[in-house]
Amino acid sequence: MVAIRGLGFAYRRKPPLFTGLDLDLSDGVIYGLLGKNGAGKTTLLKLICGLLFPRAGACTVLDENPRRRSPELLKQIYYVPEELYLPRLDAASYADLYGRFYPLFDPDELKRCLRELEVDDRERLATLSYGQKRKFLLAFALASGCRLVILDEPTNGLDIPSKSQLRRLIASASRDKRTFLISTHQVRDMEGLLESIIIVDGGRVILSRDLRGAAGRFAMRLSAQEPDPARALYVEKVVGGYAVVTERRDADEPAIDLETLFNMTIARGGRGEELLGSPAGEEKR
Amino acid sequence: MSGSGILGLLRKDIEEGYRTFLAPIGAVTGVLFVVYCLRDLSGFRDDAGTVSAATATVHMTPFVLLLFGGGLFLSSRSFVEIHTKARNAEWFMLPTQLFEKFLVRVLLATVGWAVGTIAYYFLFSLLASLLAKVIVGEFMVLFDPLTGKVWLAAADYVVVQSLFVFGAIFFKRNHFMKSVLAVSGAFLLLWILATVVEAIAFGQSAGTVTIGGWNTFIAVRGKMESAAHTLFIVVQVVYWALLGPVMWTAGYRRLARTEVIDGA
Repeated sequence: MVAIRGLGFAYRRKPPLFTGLDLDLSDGVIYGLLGKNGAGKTTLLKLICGLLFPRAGACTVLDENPRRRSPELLKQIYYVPEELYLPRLDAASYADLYGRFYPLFDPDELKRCLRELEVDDRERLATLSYGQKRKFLLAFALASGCRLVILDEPTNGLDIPSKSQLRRLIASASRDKRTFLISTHQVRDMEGLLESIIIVDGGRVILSRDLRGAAGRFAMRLSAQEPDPARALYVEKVVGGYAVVTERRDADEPAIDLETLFNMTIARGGRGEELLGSPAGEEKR
Repeated sequence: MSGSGILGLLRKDIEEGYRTFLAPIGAVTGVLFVVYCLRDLSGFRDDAGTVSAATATVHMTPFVLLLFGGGLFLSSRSFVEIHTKARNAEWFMLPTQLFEKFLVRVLLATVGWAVGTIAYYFLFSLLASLLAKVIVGEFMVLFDPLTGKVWLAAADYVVVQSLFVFGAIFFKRNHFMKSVLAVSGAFLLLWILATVVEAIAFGQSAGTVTIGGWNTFIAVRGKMESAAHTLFIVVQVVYWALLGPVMWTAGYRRLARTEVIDGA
């Protein structure tokens, strides 16, 4: 689906953001793109969409160079950015004017998603609240029929029920072999939905793994006392004590959560792949 | 390039944008009514001459002001999305060819605006004429959209607006003002260049005219006139045939290289 090789990118008059970044995305997987502030998550999404151009290396999406912005490729990608704009149209007019550009767009699916996300489709879109606008565009993305859906901070501005409704909708849409690439800071919002994680730090991908395989290798427990660092892979101070990560030896042990896995990977100085070892033993999709 | 793509984009842009024009159209109509009322009413009457002559004398100045003022402002905002953080991704990622998106915006700002303004002005003069009949008992001379001067002004507008289309793509903000300044700067440079050339060519003979110098001047005057005539033709060709296509092409090439860098 997406293949990035040796990608280099820098904004003008700024140090390089990516140097030699490699990444592969497969069909039908829900990816979570994680990273610290300024790590380049949104930039990476824009490079995949063809909104930014690599300074070095290559990026191909569905065997095409996104830089060309060909209509055939754009029909397969839907990107919901963090900042949103919607015109002064109602949902039906918007669907009529914009849906025609996406061959697999399904207006009934849009109505269903809007119902599910509790968005009033009779109101003018420009007058909707930020959260409602986001829900509308997420619903449109799901109804567009695009093979690659890219969401930048999709849960920003969503209330708690909407977050779980969104998770449900994405999970059901991913069954159609569609790929989702979700950039988020709110890892807890996406926990249970993401199938694979990509962590970017220091200008490259430091971890790109099947989440069940990665998280399943580690156990996490809470300890009131500070543990011996030699006996733990990672220790994090949390409210009421310490979160201690160790190798998981027993299936009954609670697996590490996504946030701790992220923190542990970052804390290991970007040696995430070393931490996890070879992905060969991981369950194949 | 696909016809359905272009039609779809035209429909989208018109349906999204027409509301933006309603308030300015109302304001312009009001201002025009006031301007016409303040002017000598006799100028609007049938005794002002033929409809064509009255169009030239009565309607032409406000029409040209509207055509150029509104059109150049519209042209300089025709690619505002690509410089707006919340809108640029959506604009670039809409699945049509970039050339189609560009063409639709240029068509709307050139043919769309010119034809729309001519039609609007005709309707305005019709309405004003009816009101004049009601108020002063005489019809006002109508604006004749078929007069050659009207279409020449429209053609002039299409050429000049190409500079503002380029400015709309090139400048990140304050597109209109920066385009005006850039065009003024370019004219100033041309004027300085022409003055320097003139000074070099005629400067020496301007102060002391000798018999020999005068004879030389007479001898080259014919050649100079011929050169000036050729230069005039070259300028006409550059203006009417090259300026528009060159600026649109440069604008499109710039657009194709535009990246979405936080609204830049």
